[in-house]
Amino acid sequence: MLQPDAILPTTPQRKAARRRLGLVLAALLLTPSLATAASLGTVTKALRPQLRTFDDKGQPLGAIPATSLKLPAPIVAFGVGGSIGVSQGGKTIFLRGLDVDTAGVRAACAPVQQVARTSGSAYAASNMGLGGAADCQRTAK
Amino acid sequence: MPISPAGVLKALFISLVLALSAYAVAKLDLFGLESASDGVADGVYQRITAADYGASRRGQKTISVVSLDDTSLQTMRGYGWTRFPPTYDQQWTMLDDLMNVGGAPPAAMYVDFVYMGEGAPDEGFGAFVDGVAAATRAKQWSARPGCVSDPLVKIACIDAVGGTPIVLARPSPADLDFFPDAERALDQVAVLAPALVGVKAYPLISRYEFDAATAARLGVHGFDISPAMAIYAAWCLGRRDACGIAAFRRLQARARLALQGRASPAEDYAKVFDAPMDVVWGSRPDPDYMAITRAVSGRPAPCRGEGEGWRARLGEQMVGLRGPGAGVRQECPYNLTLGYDRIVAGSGLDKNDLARLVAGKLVMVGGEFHASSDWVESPVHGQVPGIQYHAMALDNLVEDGIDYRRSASAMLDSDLLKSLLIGALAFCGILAVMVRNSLLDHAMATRSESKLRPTVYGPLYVVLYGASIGMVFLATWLGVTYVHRSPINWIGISACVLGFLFYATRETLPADVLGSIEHIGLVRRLVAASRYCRSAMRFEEDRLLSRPPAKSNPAASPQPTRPKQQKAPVHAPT
Repeated sequence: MLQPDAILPTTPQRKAARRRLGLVLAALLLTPSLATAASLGTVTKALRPQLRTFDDKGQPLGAIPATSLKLPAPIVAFGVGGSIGVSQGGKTIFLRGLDVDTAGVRAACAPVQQVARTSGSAYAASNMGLGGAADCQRTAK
Repeated sequence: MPISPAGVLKALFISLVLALSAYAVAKLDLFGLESASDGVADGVYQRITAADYGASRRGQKTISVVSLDDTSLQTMRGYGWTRFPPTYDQQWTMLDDLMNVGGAPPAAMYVDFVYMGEGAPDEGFGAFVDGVAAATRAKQWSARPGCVSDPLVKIACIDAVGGTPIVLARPSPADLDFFPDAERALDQVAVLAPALVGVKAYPLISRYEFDAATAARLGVHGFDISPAMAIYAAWCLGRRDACGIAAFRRLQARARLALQGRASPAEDYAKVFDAPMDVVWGSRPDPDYMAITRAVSGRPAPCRGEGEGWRARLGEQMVGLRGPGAGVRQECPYNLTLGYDRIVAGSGLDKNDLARLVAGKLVMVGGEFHASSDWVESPVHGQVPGIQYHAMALDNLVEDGIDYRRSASAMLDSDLLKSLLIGALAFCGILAVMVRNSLLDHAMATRSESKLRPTVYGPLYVVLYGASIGMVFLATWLGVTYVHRSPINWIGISACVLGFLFYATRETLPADVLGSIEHIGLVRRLVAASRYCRSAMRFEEDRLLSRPPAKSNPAASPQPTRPKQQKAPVHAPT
């Protein structure tokens, strides 16, 4: 059976316990958003002196010098086809993964195409297995 | 048990008649059955032995395929590719990426796209040509007549000046009676090779019977080489030993002279690469393909994975047991294959992967579009995109060099070989039957017939049939392994020889085989049942032979002869 003192909210011990509990709750609430931001990864290095840039629809925005990119740059979004979005001058531009090194980016693909034509083959199976990489496109996070 | 000389001559005569008949059937190719049967025999042989191809993986370590497919184009919308075909500028960006992304350029690159026109003014055809020219260092060789007199010396010149040989597809001059301006421009800075859509035997050197004016109009420089041949030549010319091919060593020297302004005549390379290739398909996927596919997609490659040995594959040939399209998954591509869109996105790939893909490799770039006609039938993989066909042909050359497997159907004269084999086997079979009959005569004379059955006749038939089948398999294997020819029609020959042997021994085989086991009750019952079946299945001819002579017109109906020692059954005239 609990002691009466233990449930009184005004005791100093209880106040400290509530403060700690609040801190823990705040940490728990903040962690997912931090984790989400971190999970997109960062751009760590530019591999070419000029970087081709695109908008979120894939329209070319021209090339920027690699030196204009502050590295490491957090990835803020992924565009069409897996292009890498970083903030630049207050707006998001999208880069080719080919042109930069990244850290913390994980592939997540789902098969979208069976590269096969099955007629006339003794080995006709449900798929050709030819694409592998090409069979996949990034799934929504 | 002597066999008389007359008997040997008779056996020889019968086997020659059989061989000639087989040759006539093969040459007539009635309803295409012969060629279809050849294809089936080759395909089954390839499927059974596919796991044994390329044990050293030399080709796999050297060749990569970069593909564009319907999905790639969807993905590439994020990088400005909003139409198909993409602009020349975008296509040059793709080639430029492949030249640079691995940290070192490829050893050679084949692009399986045909460029028939320059497109709109803003599509960047000029940039495309300039980019290719820079990669091949065209300025250093394109003005030298000795460097453009044939495609092989052009490749040698590109290699000699330190450029990267880039081979672009073109329609065959035999199919297209004009040479588009776009191709003429590209011909100045790169090597063009016929794309070979729809071929069955993969050619290496193609000669056309054009006069000089027509050849110049169609952009033919002496002769044409296939894409695999072009890339293989580029690979060999970049090696100190020139792949051990003397003609390539002389080609290197010829290119050096050509760059000095001294042209020399081409030798006949068709003497070395003397027949089209019967492309051998391997089934063991490249481990790097499996690893990279898992890296970029987060899951294993959606295909068969490691291949089994020939025993498992032999069982798989029985489609009726496993069901069409059931059981095993389709084979993975043999060479490392990656979509260009995945290279651009870069997700899951690191520098080592990209270096493995392109740096110093023989890179084959091509489309895998469902709606295109550029698909070929592989006996191991089913229908595959044409670029995989070129890659596999190249792999054959890298693995086997000039000992590549020649297509027997394109050579003189595989039908003769098959017919001779049939004749030889028939001759041996007839002799064996004669031996059996001599033994029987001897046994009857000594009243030891019943003793011979289990000890002599059974083994004799086993040896006869086993040796025949064994000879066919041996001839097939020797031809493939040491003569480097596509397998003979082992299925057709086996069927033909076995059919003849069954026919030749049809009277004696059942009695001899059953005679050795007739003491078993079940066998006796089966023999009785078979007699009943035989009497029930008499042919009309049997009845005609036993029909009594017609009374009305004896002159019009000659007396039928009755078999000796046989009681003729009485039948009512029909």
